[in-house]
Amino acid sequence: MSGLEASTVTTVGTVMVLYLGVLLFIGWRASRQTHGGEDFHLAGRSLGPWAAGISSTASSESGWVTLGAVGMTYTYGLSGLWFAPGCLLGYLVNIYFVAPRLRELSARNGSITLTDVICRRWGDPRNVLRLTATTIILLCMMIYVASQMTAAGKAFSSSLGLDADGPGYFYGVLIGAAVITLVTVLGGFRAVAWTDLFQGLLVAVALIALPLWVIARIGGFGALFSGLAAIDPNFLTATGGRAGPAMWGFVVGNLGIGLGYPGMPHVVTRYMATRSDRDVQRLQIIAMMWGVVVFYGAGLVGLVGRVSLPELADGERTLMALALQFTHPVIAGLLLAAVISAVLSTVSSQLLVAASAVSYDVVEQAFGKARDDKRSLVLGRVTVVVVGVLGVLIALRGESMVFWFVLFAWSGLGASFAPLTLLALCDTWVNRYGALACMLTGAGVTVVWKLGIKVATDPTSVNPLFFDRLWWMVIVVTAVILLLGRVTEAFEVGHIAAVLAATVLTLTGWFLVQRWGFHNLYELVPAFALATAAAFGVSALFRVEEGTP
Amino acid sequence: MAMDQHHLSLGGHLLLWVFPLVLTILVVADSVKDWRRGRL
Repeated sequence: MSGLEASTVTTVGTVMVLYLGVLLFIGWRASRQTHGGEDFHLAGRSLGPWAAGISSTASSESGWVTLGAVGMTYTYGLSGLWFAPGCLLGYLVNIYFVAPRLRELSARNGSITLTDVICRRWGDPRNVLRLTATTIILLCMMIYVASQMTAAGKAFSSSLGLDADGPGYFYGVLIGAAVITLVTVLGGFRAVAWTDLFQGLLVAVALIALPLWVIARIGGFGALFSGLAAIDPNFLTATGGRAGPAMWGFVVGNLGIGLGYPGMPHVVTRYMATRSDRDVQRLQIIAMMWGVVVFYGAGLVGLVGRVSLPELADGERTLMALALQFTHPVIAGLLLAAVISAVLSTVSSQLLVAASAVSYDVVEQAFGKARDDKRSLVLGRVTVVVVGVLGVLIALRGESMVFWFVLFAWSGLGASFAPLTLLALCDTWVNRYGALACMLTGAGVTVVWKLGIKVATDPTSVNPLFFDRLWWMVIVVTAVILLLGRVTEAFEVGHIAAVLAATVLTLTGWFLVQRWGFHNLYELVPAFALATAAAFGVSALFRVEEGTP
Repeated sequence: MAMDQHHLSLGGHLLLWVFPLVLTILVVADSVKDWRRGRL
């Protein structure tokens, strides 16, 4: 999108600066109410329904909704919209099942983070669960944060008509990261939730107003459907012309995206921070309506973009292109701010989750540093800065690596924590050994399934020797974990069983995807199923010893 | 171009507007129920 007029660039740039100024103002206001650790990590459990509702949903929808989801319907027509019911079914489970129960459980046992909920729910005297969960969360979140900063850099540079690979990208990453890190450092969870509310509303208005405006300009829904049919008649069908396993894999995979929602620490902590049960009831309708508007709005943007701008090289740029083509520069500036909002609202939440994982879960809880509210606050702030700087460094130095690993972030977190969160809220025989098996199986199967699909669909993309030896690597990693666990005397017999069960199930996943051809299935679906099976199986075989918490 | 020239398929109708409409009605109905019981 280079070659924009100078006046347009000036106007769009001014709107961007105003938008960033609003974020900083909110951060400053929130900092005045942040006095201690629980304030910083959980806003003192004081969020109202609007902040909690919109913040939970805006955190879960990253740049993916304004870029990737739009690109789906741009590329596949109506069948690209299957992600919408998938995500909304995930919302239903999160908002109606998880939210009220998690708020009650975390308030009852005084948990601050999702890891904390899991550890206190099942007891974790040797910190095995806590350190495993923290490792998985940190790995996924660091990569996630870096990838979102990359997206912010690209969105900034292209909205100002700068070269996406040049200095515009560099400054875009720096400005976006600096502002959002500062906001998070200043006001912690409260600032993150309030900026999410502001940004979430901006995204919702943008995603519903823009497509309706453009549809009106091109002659209504009739013209939209005719235009789509003219490009490809399959664009008006729910299957998109797919049949057999390809169709089922596509539909189940898209619906399977929703399985990840209960496992997103940056989402479910919003429910823990909600003020009261009554506020959870109010949050439900607010969050669901936001979801309907945003997902269907994003889908419509892709569809109208396909008809009105059919020659775009990259469908993910549809929203930005439509904004600049069809609206006044001031409105275009607001719409582009919405694109960046979707990114930054996720970054801030993930920065905070990563910081809480280090400062609260590891330093305060696992290492047993006595909790002092003031020190906890300082520690939290310092960690946010460290994570933010690391994110920027990864975004600037290792962009290609980021895009490879970020593929694992949603499904990895989802498979490791979604079944566990749901089980924590139910009355089952699952115990801490089952919980460990569940986390490890979820993470392991996600990785091997994703790699398996890559090998099966594009064998030249990876070194075959690596995959021939993959299962040896899994076995070696398992042996190292077991050895370390024994040497440090952290492991009980049940922990060893959990690690072995996770290894067996991870290898089972590898054989399923390699030998029996489940290539069309999104990895979160099998990983979720096997992780749940691991939780029940290991818990049934190895009971927690009497007398231990 | 009139709309009747290019119909959505049945699945297309369900995916595009029937699902979100039914979902919205259910969510609103649940909230109205909460409100009438004084819990909202």
